[in-house]
Formats: sequence, C-alpha cells, structure tokens
Amino acid sequence: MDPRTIDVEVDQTSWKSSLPSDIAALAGKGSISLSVEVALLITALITRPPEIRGFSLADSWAWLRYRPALTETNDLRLKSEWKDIDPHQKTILSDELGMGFTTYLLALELDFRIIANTGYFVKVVTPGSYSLKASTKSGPRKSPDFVALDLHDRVNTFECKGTQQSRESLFDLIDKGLAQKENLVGSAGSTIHHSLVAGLFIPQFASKENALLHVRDPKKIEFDEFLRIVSLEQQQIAIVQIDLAKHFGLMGLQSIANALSRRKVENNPRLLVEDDELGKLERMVVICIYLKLLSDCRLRLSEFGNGMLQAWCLQ
Amino acid sequence: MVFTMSCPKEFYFRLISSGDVNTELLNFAAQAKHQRWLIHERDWETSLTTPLGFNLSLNYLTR
Repeated sequence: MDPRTIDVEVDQTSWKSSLPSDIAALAGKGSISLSVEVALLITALITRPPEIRGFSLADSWAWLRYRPALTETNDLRLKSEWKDIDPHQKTILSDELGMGFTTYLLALELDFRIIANTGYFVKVVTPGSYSLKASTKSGPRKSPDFVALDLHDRVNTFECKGTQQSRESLFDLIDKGLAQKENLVGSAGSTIHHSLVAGLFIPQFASKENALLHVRDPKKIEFDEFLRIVSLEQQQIAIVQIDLAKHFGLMGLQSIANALSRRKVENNPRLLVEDDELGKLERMVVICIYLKLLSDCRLRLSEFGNGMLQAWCLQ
Repeated sequence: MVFTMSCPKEFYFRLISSGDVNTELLNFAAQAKHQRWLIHERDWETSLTTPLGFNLSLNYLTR
C-alpha cells in the first residue's frame, strides 16, 4: 500500500528514568515502513474536529491534496515542483502530515488505540473543575494535541510537529513542543503512562537528508492534578467518546458526532440524536455491502459505470 | 475516489437507546482495544480497520 521508508529516532536522553521497554524497542528500529495511503487516512481522521459545524472539507481531502505532492520513490519525499508552492501551503502540509504520520507511528509501535483531542477531552470529562492555562492557538502556550488510550488502558498524551525545512528545524519545533506539553497542568500529580512530543521531517526533493520521525519525552509530566480529580474510568469514557465522535463525523453522521463531542461524562446523559440519522446509517450499511459484492465479483467500477454508482450512493 | 465507512450498527443503536451511555462506551472500548490498523488490499479498492474497529474503504473510481 504505497510504502515509504522513514528513519526513526528516539531522544533517549530525554527520559530521566530508565527507558520504558516499548520506547526502547522503538529506539532500536532505526527506520520504519509506513503506508502513505493509511497515513493520509489517519491525517483526515485525526485532524477533523469531533464536533461538526460545517467547517470541514470532504474527508478524502488529505489524499486528494497531498498524495500528488509525494514522489514515487521508496523514501518519503516531496516532488521537485513542491518547492515553488506558497510558504503558507508548505506550513499547512507540514502540520497536517506531521499529525498523520506521527499518530500512525504511535498507533503501530506504542499501541495507541483510542485517541481524543485534548481540548474536547478536558471539556467533556471535567466541566468546571479543571481548565487549561490561558491557551493560545500557537506558540509555547498552545495546549497539547491528543490524549490516547493504549492497549493496556493506560492514558498517554502526545504533541505532534512537522516541518519540511531540515532535521534541525524539527528539533527546534520539538523543543517548543516540550513547553506546550507543560502547559496542561492541574493542582496535583500524574499517573500518565507516556507523555511524548513526536515530529515528522519530510524533505524537499533536492534535500540530502532523509525523512525522519523523532520522538522525545518532556522533562515534566503534566496531568498530575487532573488525573487525581478524574477517575481512570471517566478518562477512558471521555477518550472513547471523543474518538467515536470523530469516526461518526467521518461517516457523515453529524447528529451523533455532535452529541458525543459535547456530552458531559459525569452526568451520564442519554444521547439525543436526530431520527433521520438512523436511515442514513442504514443506507451506509447497504452501500458497504453493495461495494463488497462488487469487489467480490471483481467488477471494475470504471466498467460498471461510475456515474450510476455515485448517484446511487448519494441518494 | 469514494470514501466509505462502516460501523457496528448494533453498537450505534445501543448507544443512542441506552440509559447508561458510559457503560456502553466502556464496553465498546474493551472490545475495540484489541483492534489495530488492519489493511486489506485489492487492485482497485483499499480498506482498513481503524484501532476503534471501524472499517474504512477508499474506492478509486478513476483507476
């Protein structure tokens, strides 16, 4: 599936205590092969807000926008034409692919399975009892990106970075990420498992450097007070709730996505969903069965008639 | 390209009809945590299962 080799580097000196076994295993890899198509799907899923307010683009946007920008080489690299793109667009690509590829790495290697946007997580799990320090949209006071449950139900946090300038620029960005992670604090201590800053360097076509995924541990563990005032069960519920909202949003089920993204865990209210979403879900299931039948028959859609299928799917 | 996604339909119905949504979410997490990014490939279709157990597929209509 369009695999690309990317160097993997772990800053082992950033761990003050002994290196956790899964981090040590990651550090020993040296490089990893990741699918571009999966990375772009993750990018679409991870960057979408859990709540739908009509701001999102069609959910295949990441693939449509960024797949043509990548070379057909074995390593991850931008095409030569990309160097002439406006700097603003370059920054957006770096940010978005930085989220997609680093999340892909952490899901595969550290078993991060269920992932929630930190801001929404805090909002649904602790209304009125906890808040981020005055947070900004960028810079050192920006709040961390995500909270994740791993295979063993442990809570982890991570911050994503991305650049296409150089490895050195990535390290600078990650240094700023360490300060961002320390921005999420509470009034007591932490039982968080991993607290990471991870970044992607994706080189321009002419760069002599290879693509790199870099992982580092911050010097301070956040969430201390926060994890004392919220039970592990409530944290788990909130993370699942927000991740589910993103999945339902990706399916076009706006009502349940919004209901999940706003629901306060401590009150355990029922979900109020618009009736017509049930019908929409039924149609989606039918479409999936239909596409499965087509694939089993090995009919190519181009032979079948794309227009007919698209019109049918949109009914 | 058409982007489709499916989910356990029964879970959806349970979630919206349950008086105890928290328990439904925890039960779902217990089932979903063993999922990984599972990938199935065909010549014109790619599908994968996310860590939450949702199946996503990309169908390349133009290929």
